[in-house]
Amino acid sequence: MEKNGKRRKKTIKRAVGALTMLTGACLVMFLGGCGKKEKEPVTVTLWHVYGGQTESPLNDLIDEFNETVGKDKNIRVEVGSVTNTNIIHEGVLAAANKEPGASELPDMFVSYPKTVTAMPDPDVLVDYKDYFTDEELSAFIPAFIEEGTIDGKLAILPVAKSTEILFYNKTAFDRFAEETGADCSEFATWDGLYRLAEQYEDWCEGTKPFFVHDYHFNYFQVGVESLGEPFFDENGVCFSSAFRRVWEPYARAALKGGVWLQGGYATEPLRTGDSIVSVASSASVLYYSTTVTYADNTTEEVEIKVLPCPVFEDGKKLVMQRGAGVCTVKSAPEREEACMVFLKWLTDPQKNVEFVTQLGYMPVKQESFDVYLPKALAGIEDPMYRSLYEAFLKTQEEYEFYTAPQRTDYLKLETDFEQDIRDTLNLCRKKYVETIAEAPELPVWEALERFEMTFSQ
Amino acid sequence: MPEHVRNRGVSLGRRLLLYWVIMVLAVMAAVFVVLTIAGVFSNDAGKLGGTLSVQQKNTTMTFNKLIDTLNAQNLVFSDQISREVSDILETEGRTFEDLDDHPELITKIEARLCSYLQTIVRSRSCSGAYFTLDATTNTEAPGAEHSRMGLYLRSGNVGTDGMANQYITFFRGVADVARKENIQMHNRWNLEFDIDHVPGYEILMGFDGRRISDSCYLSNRVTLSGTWEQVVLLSVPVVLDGKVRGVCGVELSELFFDLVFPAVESPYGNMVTVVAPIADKRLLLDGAIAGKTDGTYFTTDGTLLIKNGDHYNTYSDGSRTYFGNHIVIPKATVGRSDLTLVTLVPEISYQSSVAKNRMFWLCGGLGFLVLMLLAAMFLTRRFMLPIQKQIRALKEQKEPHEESNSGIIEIDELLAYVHARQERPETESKMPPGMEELFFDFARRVETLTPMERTVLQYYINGFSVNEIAEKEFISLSTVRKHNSNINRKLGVSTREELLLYIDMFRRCDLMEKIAYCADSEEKTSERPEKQPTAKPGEQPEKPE
Repeated sequence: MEKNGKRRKKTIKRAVGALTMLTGACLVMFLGGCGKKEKEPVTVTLWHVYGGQTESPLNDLIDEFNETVGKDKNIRVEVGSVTNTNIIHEGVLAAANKEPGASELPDMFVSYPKTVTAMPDPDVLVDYKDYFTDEELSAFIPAFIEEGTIDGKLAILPVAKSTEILFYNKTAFDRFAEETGADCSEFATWDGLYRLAEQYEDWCEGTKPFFVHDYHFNYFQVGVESLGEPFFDENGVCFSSAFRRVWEPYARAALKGGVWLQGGYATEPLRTGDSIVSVASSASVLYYSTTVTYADNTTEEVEIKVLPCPVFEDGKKLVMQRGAGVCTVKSAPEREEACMVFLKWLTDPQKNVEFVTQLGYMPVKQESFDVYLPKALAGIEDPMYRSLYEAFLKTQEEYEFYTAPQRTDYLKLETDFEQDIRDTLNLCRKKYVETIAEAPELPVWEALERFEMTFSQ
Repeated sequence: MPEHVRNRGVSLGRRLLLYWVIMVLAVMAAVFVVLTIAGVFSNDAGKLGGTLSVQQKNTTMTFNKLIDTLNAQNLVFSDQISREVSDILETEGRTFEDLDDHPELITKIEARLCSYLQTIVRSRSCSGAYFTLDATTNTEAPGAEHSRMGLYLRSGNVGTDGMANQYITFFRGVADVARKENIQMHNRWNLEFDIDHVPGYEILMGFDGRRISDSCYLSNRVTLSGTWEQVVLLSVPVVLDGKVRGVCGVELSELFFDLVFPAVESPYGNMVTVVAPIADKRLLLDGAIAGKTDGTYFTTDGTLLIKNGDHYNTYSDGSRTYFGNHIVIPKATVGRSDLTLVTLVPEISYQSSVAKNRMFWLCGGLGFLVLMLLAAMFLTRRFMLPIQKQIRALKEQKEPHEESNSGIIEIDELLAYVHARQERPETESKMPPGMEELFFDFARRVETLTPMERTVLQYYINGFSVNEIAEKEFISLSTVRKHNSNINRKLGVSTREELLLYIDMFRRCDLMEKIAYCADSEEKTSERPEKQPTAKPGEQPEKPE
């Protein structure tokens, strides 16, 4: 009887074992099927500014990511739009405020602190400290991390940094210099540049503005601060003595028609041959063309050269430091994870250098500067880019970087300033031209008064 | 049936029925599993076909509506251009041919028409709008043969914007017009169009002037020169004084297409919409434009071979395969009859969804089967255990425990009966107290007999008569009689018949050893080989022959 019992127990055990194996096999097949590599990828969207309406090196890099790391990890990054930070700013706020007709927030977007501070609920954004270890974060340049930290939260991950720099059409300038003896060494200082501007207007009889600046607001901000005085006060802009110092040569040139006062980016008048010198973000290099198309549909191939941003002789060598970073919107864990994989790939020291050098930016990690950037620079063939990086490195060596303060009214001040100063100077120039016979003196201080009045309203 | 047995059990019949039900369910589950593997229950192909067909209908409707609206818009715009240009030329006293090498006139025309273009772009029905006329600013400029004047405005923020805050860029046209209208110049702006890169230009310029509403042309996908953007153009000719003088139309960029045709989720994966040229049973994806493709790895490059099917078609190039269907777009195809609207779902998504579904049912069926089998095994054990315990107890002749029973009425009944049977021989071997006393007393008295008397008694036990005893013992009859009376007296019996009765009783109760005399008489007394029939009182036993 005992033998029977043992035999029965054995049979039962065998039966249970067989059933378990069968179920296990099915489960394995099932899960195996689930884990098949080519199931639907996790798709995340990105709004960025790297490329604008031209070729986009970042789009190419994204394709590379999708084909390599993305395919391995079943992630696909899709570009939702490529525009500029203002457009993104407006789009993000519209989405965050759930305005009618607004699109949904993307998974990632390029942004300045002003966008994050303007969001109704910054909690919709990921804190990168939750995804990057202390060691990983320490690889970044500390000042960049600091810039992306808002209210103790690392909401903006630095991916590329830029500064302001001087681009000029050397071919056109040489023509001017040949006839007038002008010297491009004058570009080292603002006074020198405006002097050349006035000289140019005399030379071309005021038909074309010599100089275009993308950010008049920054010219004043950095100029005043470089002279040791504060640009902002608690109410807004401080019209100090330094402000007047900065105003004078600028206004003179503008009233003489030597400064481009219309809207648009600096690249435009240089593209049409209407201006020949500009100060713009180093990232604009992507948008400068060596082909100038004139109004008569003729074109000219020109040489664009790059120099560090001019400074005031009596002030310190100070220049604006900019560069938006990437914000990630909170969502499902696998989507956030996918975004992190992509961002870590993009900020890898070597990949980051590959990325930024195609766009006129600087990388964001120390290792990139020390190891990969010198190698990359040696390999740059495009003369404009070579010129840019030489100027950039010189700027890094000799200049101090200025970061705009995180004021809640910053954007408003900037927009109003840019608009009012152009309107004022346009008006004053028009009046000057009309009454030049009676009043040959440039109305520099009247213009300032007018501007102060308009702006303070 | 003992009370306790009846109350604590279920009928065997009910138990059996339960087990049968379980086994039937298990068999059904097994059959179900097999059929699921064979795919008998699913009609996935048919369902996919149905889903694709519904999606195709929807996208066709959306697409036709879009094209209709845009075509209507194009025709209106074409008309506006004709009118404004005629008006300006008339005012200036010029002919169309005078436009060449006349930048001021060109600027005037462009300035006049810029607001129309802005309206079109702001309408959000497209990502850009343009017109080009057969004239150029400078016939002497290099490349003038394929350079033509015109305006091209593009929306700068497709995909990020709300209804307010349009952002328009100036892609082609006189720079002064842009500045006057305060439109930002595109980063890859150029003054004029390169007609080699305007898809459909030649076809539309060759339009023979029939009904202009039949002249719409939807191009293949092209890359906007100098940019990363891919677009298709939907265009119509511009007719002045019966002659085709230019082309105008709208741009649909890939980003715009993404918004109009998002990837639609279905149980079989995401469905993607593509507008693709078709030739020789192949989809030419290099010229195709697709809607949103998220959730798939679909890209617009290469060609896909089409294989027709019952419920849906298969599109494959060997390395990637899609299921779907397509229809030829009748509208917007002057000069071409090869554009199709396609709905695609990746084969891999379909298969993984079908497999998942099947696996789900399979696992469910298997799980159920396993459960049923386990239940059967468990119940069997439960059924058998108490029975086995009881049988063990029975074999070991232990007292059956009051509490332990098999829970089955019939079994418990049987066991109780067996137990009872087991116990009965002991009870049967026990005599009523009086009888026992009697036997004990008789046996004790037998002990008091002398050896000779015991011998005689033994003769009587063995069935010998008085005469035979005298003969065997070589004693006289009277001596035998004397022994008889002693025996009777000592044993307390009065007659020989009574004595024989006692002997018979001892024999029946299998207690002979209590009164048998083993010693020498064994030899003598065992001379009688036959078993004598029980002597009835007074009856003489038959003498042996």
